[in-house]
Amino acid sequence: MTEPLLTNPTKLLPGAALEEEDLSGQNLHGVNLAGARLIGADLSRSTLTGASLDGANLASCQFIAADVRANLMGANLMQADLSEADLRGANLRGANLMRSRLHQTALAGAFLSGANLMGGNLQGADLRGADLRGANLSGANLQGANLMQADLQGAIVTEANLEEANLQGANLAGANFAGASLLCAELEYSNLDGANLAGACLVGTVKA
Amino acid sequence: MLEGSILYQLKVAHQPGQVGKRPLNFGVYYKNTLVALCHALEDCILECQSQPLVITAFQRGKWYLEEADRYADLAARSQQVVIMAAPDAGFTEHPTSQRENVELVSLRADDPVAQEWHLMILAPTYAAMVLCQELMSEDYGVQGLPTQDLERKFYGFWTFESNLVQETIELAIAHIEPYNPSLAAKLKTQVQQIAQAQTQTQVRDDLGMIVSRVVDYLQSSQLDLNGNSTQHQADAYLASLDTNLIANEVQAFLRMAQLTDQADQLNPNAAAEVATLAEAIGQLLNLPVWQLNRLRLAGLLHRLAPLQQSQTVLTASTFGRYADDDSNTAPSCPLIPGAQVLRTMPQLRAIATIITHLTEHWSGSGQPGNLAGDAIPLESRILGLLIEFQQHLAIARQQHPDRPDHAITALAACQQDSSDRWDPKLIETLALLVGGFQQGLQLPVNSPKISAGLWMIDSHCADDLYEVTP
Repeated sequence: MTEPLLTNPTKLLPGAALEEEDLSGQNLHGVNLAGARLIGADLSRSTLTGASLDGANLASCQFIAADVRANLMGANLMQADLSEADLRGANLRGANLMRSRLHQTALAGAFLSGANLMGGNLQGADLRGADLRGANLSGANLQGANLMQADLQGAIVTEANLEEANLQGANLAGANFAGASLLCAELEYSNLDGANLAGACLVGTVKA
Repeated sequence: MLEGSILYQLKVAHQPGQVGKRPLNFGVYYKNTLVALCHALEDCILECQSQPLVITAFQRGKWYLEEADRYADLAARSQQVVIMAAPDAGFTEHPTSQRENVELVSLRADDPVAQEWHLMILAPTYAAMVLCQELMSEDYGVQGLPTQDLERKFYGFWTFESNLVQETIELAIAHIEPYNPSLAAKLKTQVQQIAQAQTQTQVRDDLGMIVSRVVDYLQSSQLDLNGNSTQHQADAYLASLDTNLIANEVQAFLRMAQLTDQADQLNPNAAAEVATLAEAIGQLLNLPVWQLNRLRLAGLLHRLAPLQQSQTVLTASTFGRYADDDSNTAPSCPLIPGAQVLRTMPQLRAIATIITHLTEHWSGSGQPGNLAGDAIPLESRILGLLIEFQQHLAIARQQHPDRPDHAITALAACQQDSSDRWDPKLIETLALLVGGFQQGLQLPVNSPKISAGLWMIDSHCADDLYEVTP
């Protein structure tokens, strides 16, 4: 039987081993779990504001509807479920979010430069003003996502699904959209200088 | 997009920079969604208070023949029905085709309109339109071609805006002209007569009923989908179709609310501006993301409540018809028709409750529930205040376009009755926001992208705000 974590705060330390732990609904505000191993842990509906999770291994973790306005720089979030979570302004630079679920996740103003979001599900995610410079969104599903004023300079968006996405005022300079579907995407005031649109579907966009 | 198609021509006419024209937002529709949508808008003809002109494009004659029996009933209630399609066997022979007020236009196979799916309905009391074009095979991209007929994809938009319907009908008439000049001349006269009747009568069919029907038909299609899911169909395929149907249910409400904005020449941006202000106030109050989303959607939909229509923007001190009502003895909550329409969609139950209670007073003297203080849903309190604030803002801008202090004027007007009407905490938060404006804070007010309506609803929009409290 696992001890309740809040009565045993000594477990919440940098580098801690918390694989498969049930931490759902817990208030973990400001904890320092940098470099900790939390593979498969359940953090749904938990509060992680101001927490340090940089470099942590959070593969396959569940963060459903959790408040994760935290530092996740370089964390491993492969196949994690972050649906409806709050990641506004979170630091996700260089994080690995491959095949993660970010369905309707709040990522407005989040720092995702250099992050790996290959094959991720970001349907309806709120990415307004997010920093996605050099991020890899290859094969990701961004259908209906809100990317207003987001910065995708040099991002890899090949074969991604951006149907009905809102890219108004986004910086798409030098981004690679080869084979992507931008069907009915909103591209007003966006910057497409040097973007690669080879084989991309631009039907129904205001700009095309 | 096919040059020369009606959708293309309309898009070009609404290119950014065209004076007086709003750029059009296009959405993606599966055939499944289009069938339900068109059936609902067509069936409204059967209860329409006036006789419409109906112009359709069916791609091929065989698709029309599937609907030809229904079209006999529709023609019986219409002034004129025009069917455009590339002819197939039996196209002209069907009894509906023989009716006096039904005209067929046999499109050439290379006519771009033969790739389009249109339904345009224009009557003195009713206007609706679905305007779509089918995706070319190369545009399906990595997802590949659809295997099911109902999975075929179209893009375009639909609307209740009668000026846009009329504009499109005029494009369609111009397209018909080379095929049949005398029909085109007849249609031009009919459009003029309908436009004239619209300005003379001002009577409109109940849009709430129409929207309810649209939502109802889309929901039936969802049930059909889920009922057939025992077959070996990929889950992803069903999920996409289901998502598309729900998205259009939300769109129906957003498009209904949009009409109120457009009819209000003095304050045409109210919904978008209230939603933006509400999100900013919600952030200052550190509300969780789900509540911010719910607040934003309720803001976009707040003009569904008819109290907004009965009130002119220049009598802003009391917004809402209940404020003038002296009797506080209502036996039960009166129904707010706009909010009732929202209840046709269970996913929006919380939004309906929020909109119902916009007119409560902090002191408890408001309607419809005589709720006081924190018993009033927080979102109702925020939006009630911001609707009032935004109206004062619109008046101030109109009366003194050169002055920089519109927000201060509007805040002062709201502060006048702060102890009674509004939550004092919220007045303070609003003052904080106005202070921000004075220091250069700017909020970008963006009209919502209606075609992506689904993404505004999450699980909390379905919450029951009152069943838990006595």
